[in-house]
Order: sequence, then C-alpha cells, then structure tokens
Amino acid sequence: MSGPRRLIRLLTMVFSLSLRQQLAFRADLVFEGLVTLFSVTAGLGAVGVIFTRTGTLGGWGPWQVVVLYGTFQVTTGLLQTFVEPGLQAFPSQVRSGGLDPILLRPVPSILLASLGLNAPLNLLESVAGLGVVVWGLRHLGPTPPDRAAEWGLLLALAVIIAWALRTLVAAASLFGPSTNLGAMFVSGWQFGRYPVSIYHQPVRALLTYVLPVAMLSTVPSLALTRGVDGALIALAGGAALVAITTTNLVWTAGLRRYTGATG
Amino acid sequence: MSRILRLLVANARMRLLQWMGWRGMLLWLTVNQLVTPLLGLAVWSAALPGQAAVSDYYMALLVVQMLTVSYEYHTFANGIYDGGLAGGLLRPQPVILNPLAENVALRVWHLVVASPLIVVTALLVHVRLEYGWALLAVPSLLLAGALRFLLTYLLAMAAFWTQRAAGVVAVGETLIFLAGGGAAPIALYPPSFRTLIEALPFPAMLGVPAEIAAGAMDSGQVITAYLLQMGWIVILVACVALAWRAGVARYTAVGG
Repeated sequence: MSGPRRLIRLLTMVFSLSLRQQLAFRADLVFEGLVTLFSVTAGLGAVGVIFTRTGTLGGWGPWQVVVLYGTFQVTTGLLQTFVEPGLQAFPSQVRSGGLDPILLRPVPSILLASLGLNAPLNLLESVAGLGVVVWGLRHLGPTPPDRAAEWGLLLALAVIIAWALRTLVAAASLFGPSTNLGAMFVSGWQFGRYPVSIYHQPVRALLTYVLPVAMLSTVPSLALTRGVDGALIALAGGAALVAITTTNLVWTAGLRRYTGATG
Repeated sequence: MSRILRLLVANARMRLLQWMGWRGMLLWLTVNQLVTPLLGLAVWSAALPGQAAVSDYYMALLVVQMLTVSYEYHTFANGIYDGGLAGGLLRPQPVILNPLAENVALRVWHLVVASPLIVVTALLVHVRLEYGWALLAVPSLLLAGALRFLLTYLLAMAAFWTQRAAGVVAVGETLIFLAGGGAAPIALYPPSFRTLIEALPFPAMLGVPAEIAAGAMDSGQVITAYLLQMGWIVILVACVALAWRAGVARYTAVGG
C-alpha cells in the first residue's frame, strides 16, 4: 500500500478508535451536546445584542456576521477534534522524553504528533456551526453554488493553515522545552469570532499576516456572503503552502535539537 | 474567627509563592481571561464608535475580570475526583479555606501579570475613569469577587454527583459572560432582556462594579447594587452550605 493511502488509513483508524472510546459514555455525549448547543447559542445571543444597537459591524450585516460566526465554529470544532488533543500534551512529551515512541514509529512524526489523538465529541461544535451557517444563509437569500464551493475550498485551506500554525507553535517547545505557546494560540484564535475589519491597526495587520485568524473565518465567510475573486483564493492557497513548508522546516530543525531518551 | 483569618492569610501567602514558580501557566491563564473583555472592547468600539462610555466600561471590566477569576473546578473539584479531598476533610480547618486561599493568590497574580497590558490599552483608548467612581466601585468589586467564588465553588461541587463538573462550571462561566456584562454592558441590552438579566445574580458578579467605576450609575443605584450583591451572597452561601452537606455525605473516595 502506498504511503499516503497507508497514512489516511492510519488516521481513519485513530479517529475510529477515539470515537468508540468516547461513545462508550453515552451520557457524556448527550451532556457535551447540550453544553455545545448552549455555548453556540450564547455566542449568537451576543451577536444579537450587538445588532440591536447597530445595523452593521465593521461593514458586515447581521446575517453575514451569523454566517461568519458559524464558519468560525466549524473551523474551531475541526481543530479541537483533530489537532488540539494531540498537541496539548506535546510540550510535556518533549520535556519527559515521551516524544521518543512517536519518533520511532514508521510514520512522519509531525503528523503522528499533531493528528495522532482525536476528540470526536468536539465535532458537535462543527455540526452546530454548520447549522448556524445554513440558518444565516437562509436569511441572506439564495447562495450561488460557486460561492458555496469557494467557501468549502477556503475553509479547507483555513483548516490547513490552522493545523500548520498550531503545529508550529507546538514545535517551539523543541527549541525551549519550557516554552508552551499553545494556550496563547487558543486565546488569539478567539479574535476570529468577528470580522477582522472591526480591529484597528496594527491589530488588524497582526490578525491578518502574523496570526491569520482573518483566513480562518472572515475570508471563507466573505466568499459565501459576497463572493471573492480568484486572487484571494490563490493568496489563501499560497498562505497554506507557506504555512506547511515553514512548519515542516521548523519541525525538522527542532527535532535535530531534541535529545530525549526516556519515555 | 481570627484563627481562620490567620490561616487564610498564611495559606494565601504560600499559594502566592507557589504560583511564582508556575509563571508560564500564569501567563496562559491571564491571557485567556483578558480575551473576553478585549473582544468586547473591540466589538463595541466598532459598533458604537466615539462613545467613550463603552471604552471606560470595558477598561474597568478588564480589572474586574482579573480580580474575580475563579478556578474552583481545578482547585477543588479535581480533589473530589482524585481523592485529594479526603486529606482536606481530616484537617482541623474548613475545607473551603484552601480553594479560597488559592483563589485570592490567583487573583493577585492575574492583576500583576495583566497590569502592563491594562495600562497600554488604557493609554490607547484614552480611558477617562474618575477616582470618585473608581473608589465607589471597590466595595462592589469585593462583593463581586465573593459572589463569583461562591457560584464557581457551588458549581464545582457537581463533582460529588457527576463526572462532568467541568461542563457544569463552563455553563456557569458562559452565563456570566452572556448575562453578566461581558458580552455587552447591561445598559445596552434591549429593555425586556435587561429586566430579566437584572433579576439574575450574574451582573452582580462582573458588570456591576465595572458600571460603577465607569460612572454609569447614580449614587442611589450604587447603594441598591451593594444591597443586591449582599443579598445574592446570603443566598449563595446558603446554597453552598446545603450542597456541601449533601455532597460530602455521599463522598466515598479513598486515598489522595
């Protein structure tokens, strides 16, 4: 079996195993679903209060912001399901030598460390987010199919960028074992809940080019609600490529410095 | 009483020193707590440009948030799960003392760590808080701190009955965000919602001290706010006492 197919099969098995583990606790599933629903509703409530006082927010109408909020929840749910569970413990693995077994396995360590542990219940957040997107779109009128396709493509690129950035942040602990920037990333991520146009410079530039939360929710939502030109899609594709390449280079350089020998 | 107070002060001092060793964790916790008020400031400044009252309110909220943070799920509920509470029950002091001391220490550290960012943000948004109103907000801030601790402690006690205490505490935090003045200043809610929200304890845990500091209340409203906060404290103390009695009766962990 070829490399990529073997890898996809392995990651599918990781997800399947994690899903079976979490489904064993049915009450937890129901409770987690209710908490997610409550949290998403609270976020929508906050958006609702804002639009009782204004007609637009950073140039976005109320239902456009609803679509953006839903998109943000979809991306967040995917990151929390596939990436965050594995990388949360990464700095402590570097310190304790727990990274050794990952390095010994015949799979690229960057993928095993970042995608080797899943939390499928967090997908409920993505499902709820998708529901919010559909709800917002129903109020905005018919959506041309090409815009939906662009949204899907930009969302996929957003997830790739998010994975690369989160892995890059985790890789910092390979250079300074006591460094744990993951939580900073999670906090910074929250600024993607609203259109990036509400922030003043230089915060807006920071959220567009350094920690590109604009790519995670604002740009895909822009495609769905107003349409984007090919140049922006190409830019997002380029950003994803740069993010993957940089992360891979930093990861490889970091592993050269790693000297753990316990487990 | 003075013995309890001495124990609380000694314990809080010990926790302050202990947390000094976990600077990375402290930085993470503080940044996490800063996000909500900063987001509120950005969103409402964009929604209502040029309204100084909004930036004054959110600047005050930044300080209130730092001085009312509560992590009793981690400092108390985990002890129920891992048996650590068993040791606490054997000590000749109230069990609540340890989480309370840790809470005080964490709040002090949150304010210290957040101070540079608070000062920079205040300079950037040209905050104009008046000393008189800021002083009037101090009693309300202390009462809000007590209330938020009591609510989080009460919710963390869900660990006696369920494995999902983290979720229960998260629901409480979401309610404080939505109905407490984090999502929007209470005065900006539509009138029908405002009436409902003001009948709940959540504004008294977060938004009320910020509103007083921002000068959004007159002196009569400030007195009413103090009395309401004290009333909620009495109710929550009773709830905590009842939940503790019921919870500890079914606690069966061994070890710690």
